[in-house]
Amino acid sequence: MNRSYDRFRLFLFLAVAVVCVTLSAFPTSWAGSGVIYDPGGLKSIDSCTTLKVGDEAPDFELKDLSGNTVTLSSFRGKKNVVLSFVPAAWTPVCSRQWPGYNIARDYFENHDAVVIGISVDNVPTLHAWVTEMGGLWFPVVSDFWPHGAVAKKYGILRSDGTSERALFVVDKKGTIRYTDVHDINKMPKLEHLIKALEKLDK
Amino acid sequence: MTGLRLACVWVALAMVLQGPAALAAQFTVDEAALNRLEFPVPENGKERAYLGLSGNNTFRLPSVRVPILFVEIFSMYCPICQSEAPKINELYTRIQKSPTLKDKVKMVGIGIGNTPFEVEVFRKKFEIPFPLFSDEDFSVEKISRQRIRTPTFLVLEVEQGNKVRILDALVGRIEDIAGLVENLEQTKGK
Repeated sequence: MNRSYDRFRLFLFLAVAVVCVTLSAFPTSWAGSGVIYDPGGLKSIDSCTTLKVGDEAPDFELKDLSGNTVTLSSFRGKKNVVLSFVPAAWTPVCSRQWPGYNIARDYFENHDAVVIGISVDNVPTLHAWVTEMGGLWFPVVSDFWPHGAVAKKYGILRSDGTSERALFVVDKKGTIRYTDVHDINKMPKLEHLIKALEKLDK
Repeated sequence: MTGLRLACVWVALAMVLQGPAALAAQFTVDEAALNRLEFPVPENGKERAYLGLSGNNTFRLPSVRVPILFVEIFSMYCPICQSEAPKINELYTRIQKSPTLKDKVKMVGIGIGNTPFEVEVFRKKFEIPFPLFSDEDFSVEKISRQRIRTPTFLVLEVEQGNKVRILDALVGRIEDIAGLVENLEQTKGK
């Protein structure tokens, strides 16, 4: 009787323990709740930019999420600019990259820099996406139409119509001082970007 | 019977913390892999004292001198980790203020995929009071066959110098900090 009771207790304990570990995991974060579309591993780079450090950054005019026009050349003489192209809204790495820059605001501002987030998605999509992120301190602009025209100017439009995950640092003279056309599947390391900004101060 | 009681406490906690979506989710942890994780001993003396560590090399989780270790797996890029940070700081404060928990539960954070610089950005922004470690190489991914979501919280029982045993794994927001504190108070560590 005692032995069977012990077995029952052991069984009950194991059953409860398994439930504890497996069922208390719940994907409540939006990055894991099925809202995010995971395209799986993609070709790391699918374009070939000719832009290099020392070139003049191609100018552009794009609408931000409030309908305002953002013009790159308007920052000349005023601010350094970090152009952050991301491939697509609602995808895994992109959905984290800008929230990371969002909490690093001081690091950008310490080097007199602004970030401009650029995506080929349309404004309503970007609006929903950025709202879900909780908002961002920097402007996000849509390169939707003519589709990917700015990404094409920068030589980073991929064959599927998305852009590369790319960073360009443009100084106050409008000159490109840093480029990183990154593996689309990976997050660029923040310190590489901040170090590039540090060099602008020298 | 202690084990059964302990398990029941954490089942109750799981019910407090989880929503209906939980039923579809599964998250299992490979304890052997968890015990193999290695981190540098913090340079900061206050953090070394908090964790009861010495030396300048690396340590494994069973070396932390505490009965219960609460681990947050986070990323500085994760918006949920960012919005939850004040709440997790509150958990730390409650633990430190509780006479029963102060020496029983310690907290650490592991920045999955984050460089030390990125971990530092997170620490500074949210004034995280407990030790954070960089896991630039995603070594934490080895503890589960499932993809590690952030934030993930592990409640570990520490068998001093030998191994850690998982009491619970929680993924996502923690809705009820007071309930979690209550359950930590009832949990008996070794």
